[in-house]
Amino acid sequence: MRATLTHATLSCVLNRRELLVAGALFALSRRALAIGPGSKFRFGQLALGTGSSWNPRPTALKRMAWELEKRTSVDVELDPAVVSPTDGNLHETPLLYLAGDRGFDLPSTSAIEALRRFLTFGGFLLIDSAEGSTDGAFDGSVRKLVTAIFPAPDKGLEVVAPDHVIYKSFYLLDKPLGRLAIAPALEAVTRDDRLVCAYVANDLGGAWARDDFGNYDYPCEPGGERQRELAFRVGVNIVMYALCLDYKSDQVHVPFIMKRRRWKPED
Amino acid sequence: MSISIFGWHARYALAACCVLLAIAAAIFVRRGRSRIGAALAVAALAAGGALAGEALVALTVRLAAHGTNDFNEYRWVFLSPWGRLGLYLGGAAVVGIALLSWRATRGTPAWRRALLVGLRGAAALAAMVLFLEPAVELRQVAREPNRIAMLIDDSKSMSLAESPQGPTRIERARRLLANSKDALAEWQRDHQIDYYTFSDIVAATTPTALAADPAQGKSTLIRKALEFVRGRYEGRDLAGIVLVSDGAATGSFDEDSGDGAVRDFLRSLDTRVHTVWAARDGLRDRAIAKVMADEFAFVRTVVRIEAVIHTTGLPAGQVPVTLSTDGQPLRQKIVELPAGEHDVTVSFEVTPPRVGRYVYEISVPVAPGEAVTSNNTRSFIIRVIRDKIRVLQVSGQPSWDVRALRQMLKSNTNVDLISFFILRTQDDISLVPNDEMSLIPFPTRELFEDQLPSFDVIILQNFEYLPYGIGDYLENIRSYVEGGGALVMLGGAQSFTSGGYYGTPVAAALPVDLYGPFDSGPVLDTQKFSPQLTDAGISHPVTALRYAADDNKAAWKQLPPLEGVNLVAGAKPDATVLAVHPTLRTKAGKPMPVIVAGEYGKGRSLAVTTDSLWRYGFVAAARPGDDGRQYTELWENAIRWLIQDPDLRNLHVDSDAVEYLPGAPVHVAIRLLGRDYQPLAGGEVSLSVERGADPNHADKLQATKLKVGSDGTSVFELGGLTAGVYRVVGHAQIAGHDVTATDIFLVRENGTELDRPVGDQATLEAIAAATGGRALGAVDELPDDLAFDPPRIVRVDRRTDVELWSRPSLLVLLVGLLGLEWLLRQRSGYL
Repeated sequence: MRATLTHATLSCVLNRRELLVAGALFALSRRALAIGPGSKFRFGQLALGTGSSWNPRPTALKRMAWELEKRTSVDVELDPAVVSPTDGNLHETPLLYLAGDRGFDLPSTSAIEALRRFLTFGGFLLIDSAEGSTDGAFDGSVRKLVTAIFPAPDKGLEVVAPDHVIYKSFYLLDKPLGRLAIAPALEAVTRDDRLVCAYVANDLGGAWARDDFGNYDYPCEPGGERQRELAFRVGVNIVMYALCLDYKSDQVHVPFIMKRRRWKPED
Repeated sequence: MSISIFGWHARYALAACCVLLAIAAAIFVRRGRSRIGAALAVAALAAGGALAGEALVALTVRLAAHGTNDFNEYRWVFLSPWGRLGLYLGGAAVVGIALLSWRATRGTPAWRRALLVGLRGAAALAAMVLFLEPAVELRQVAREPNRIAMLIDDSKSMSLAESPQGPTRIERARRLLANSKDALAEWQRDHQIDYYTFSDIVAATTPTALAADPAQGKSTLIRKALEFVRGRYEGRDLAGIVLVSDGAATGSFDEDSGDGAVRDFLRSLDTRVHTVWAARDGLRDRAIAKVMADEFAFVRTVVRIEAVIHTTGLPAGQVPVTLSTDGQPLRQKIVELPAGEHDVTVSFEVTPPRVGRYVYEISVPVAPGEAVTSNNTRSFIIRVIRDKIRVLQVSGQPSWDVRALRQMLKSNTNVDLISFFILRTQDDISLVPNDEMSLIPFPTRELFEDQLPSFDVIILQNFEYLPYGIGDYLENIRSYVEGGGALVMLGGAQSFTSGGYYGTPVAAALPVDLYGPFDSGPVLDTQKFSPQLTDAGISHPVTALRYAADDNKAAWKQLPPLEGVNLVAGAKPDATVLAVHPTLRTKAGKPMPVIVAGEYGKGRSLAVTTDSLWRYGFVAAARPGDDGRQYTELWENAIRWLIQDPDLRNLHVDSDAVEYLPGAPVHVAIRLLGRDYQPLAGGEVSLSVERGADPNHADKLQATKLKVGSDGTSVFELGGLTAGVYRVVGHAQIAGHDVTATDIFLVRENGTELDRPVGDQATLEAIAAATGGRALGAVDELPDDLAFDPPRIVRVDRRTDVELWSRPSLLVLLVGLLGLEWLLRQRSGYL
């Protein structure tokens, strides 16, 4: 049925010769989803802290990557790349994910400098707290890290306004729900009108993590599976923001988004 | 000189009244109607008395003053101190006395009553004369003749004739003066006539010089001519103005002010303006009377041009109005022109494809018997500038390459970026209602049909057109590039061959040939590689990251490797390969192109067969001391080259103005830059000057060679150019490459005098009416009774007063009248 529909649609816009050529090329283009591994989106998992404390939800990123692949047009490499700030390949994965459920020591000065370069020249850092608290040890370490990377007079983490484009970069969202719903808003560092570092204390990874048998590792509280779906949407939006920046704030999108949010533009 | 109280007409009327009233009185008396007869008799006596009084005064003056013939003027004066007040009071007293007498004589027979009242009134009148002491002041005076300004239009429209065999308007004006010798001689008794011609300037002339005036003035500025006269004769005695014109004023008479201001101006002349219309009805003409277009326009933005077609004297019909540029028709509209005199406005919309100066021309065909053919065409220049560089970025999927390009373009304040990214395809899972997503429909028609011409650059970034129904619009993209637009195709799995572009119109505009669907072998290579600059790429504006060739090569070598490349069949023969893959080869054995620049029609296209250029920015910035600026430089270079930025030219040829008057000097500035865009001291430039809208059929006027100075500049001067479209084309050789630059300018016909050559009688009538003059219209001879102000400057040589009141006869008359009245009263039984 789907093939029939596709054929009918194409017949409307192509002549016979174009259809033959296009038909031949269609299969060809479908085979090659990405020009190479470097063309694919891949999470970079930032290894900060001792042992495996930086990876409290080992399956979370892969699941999120899978969801991203299925829900969007982004070509995704499912397995995240584990990187440390001083790795030479830090800039190969422009979106870094830092998670933890306990405090960690500040990295070396060179690592701080490397992270500052990474974020200044276009990288994005998503920090996800898995410790189930908004004022725990991980939270304290995160704030120290951000202050070290962007010392005063630069602004540190600030609450992201609900009308920020990150809440509408793919899905229309109101809050950054994860496994938990303890933090009402995203916090982020803004440089040159761009969010370079976003911090969520709601354990996004906890909502995303799933075992090899298809079972999610943790229940989402208090919203259950609906909350888990929203947590995936938060992940998609953050990746889309990293890839498209403020694309959804372009004027052409505004009336559609306003209509769907049932807002009316001010006269 | 004789003294008169009444004019000849009044005098005849009084005499006739006297006779007729007397006859009527006699008839009424004989028929027994004595009351009416008496009244008529009194009236007849009054009329006769008035005539007798005038004669008496004249006789008195003649007797009293010797040599009255030596005087040429007189005026009435009162010697008593009562003046006019005494006159009014005395008149009232006379009337009162007559009424009292009328009342006192009630019951008296009619004829006697009338006689009594008449005698009493006459006596009262005589007494009033004694009271007021009237006199006649006789003067011998001489008057300085004042000036009549004769303004004769000698603008170009006066050289027109309404019919091929008929006289021209200026000939008609000359004939008017020749036919009016008697009237002019009459005027010259009291006035002196000053002759002037006027058009855009006012010049004193003589009737003799006027006979040879060719009437070539650039415009008809009637107001300016009148202002000149007002200034010229300010404080002097101006008798009046005679204006001879066809009324075909440039613009309207009140061009700069409202009707009220015009009336105020005409009143400020403080003299009469008599007008003569030198034109006649029947002129046949069709003209581009006015063109309304902005001097500046933005590239790829619709420009509205309006033209007013003025038609007169021609039958109704359909006429093609053509807008052309470079001698080639651009638009044509068929316009219905009604019979008679009408203005019809026609509008065109054009979209200038490139920055620069454009000469446009609007024309209508010449009709049989047209008086003026030069006004059937009108040229004008529009300077096309760039507001912002409008870039359309269409991407098949979000990626780091997409992000890097958007971030770079958005941060450039000179760029107006329109982005469209495909965020979800039909293959992706969609379990979420659309209302919970921010996705919008892909506005294909708006982008690729309606708005397409408004973009300066279109970037197709890893974008596969098939799933989005864009096949019909690919021809639009091709023709957009051919017409002067710019296209970039960036690599990716949905681009070039794997994007299905083989055999499409877009492929024709690309600078590379694509593999066909039946070509064997891969279409993508996923290995990392460092592209190598070709010889052309080392110095090409797109890939020149540094001025010096060695520096540029070194800069490229330091860039991080790219990853993955689209395989293409090769570069097109006329394309310029700027960078190639270090190891891969095309089937022809040539290095696989990675960056290729090409020209297609009037536009340009660029192919970059990888989707990893972002690595030149973000990945490069991982190295300390490297800010990834190369990525931005490469794209800025590419965009400037794609939009054909004038600043990227090595040779500049610029005239110092857009339009010139015929004969005016034209200064053309030359600037020659080397490949490094530094002044090329001592460089030689060949210049040629051409005349004609169509560059393919232009007349070559002159060619010269000049050397620029140490600052790379020089100035070339042109002079004595007649009306037309001119191009200055410069050629130079820079490092073995030919460079060319062209500038265009317009030498415009003098003024707009012949845009509306039809004579306008209404303007002349309005001027005459507002100043109290006469609109003589289409006359062949001037009348001798035109009203002019008399000379104000008077010289009195002699004067004498003749007292009328002190005559003994007047006293005798008074006593006699009173005595006669008293006698009649006695006889009638009254006291």
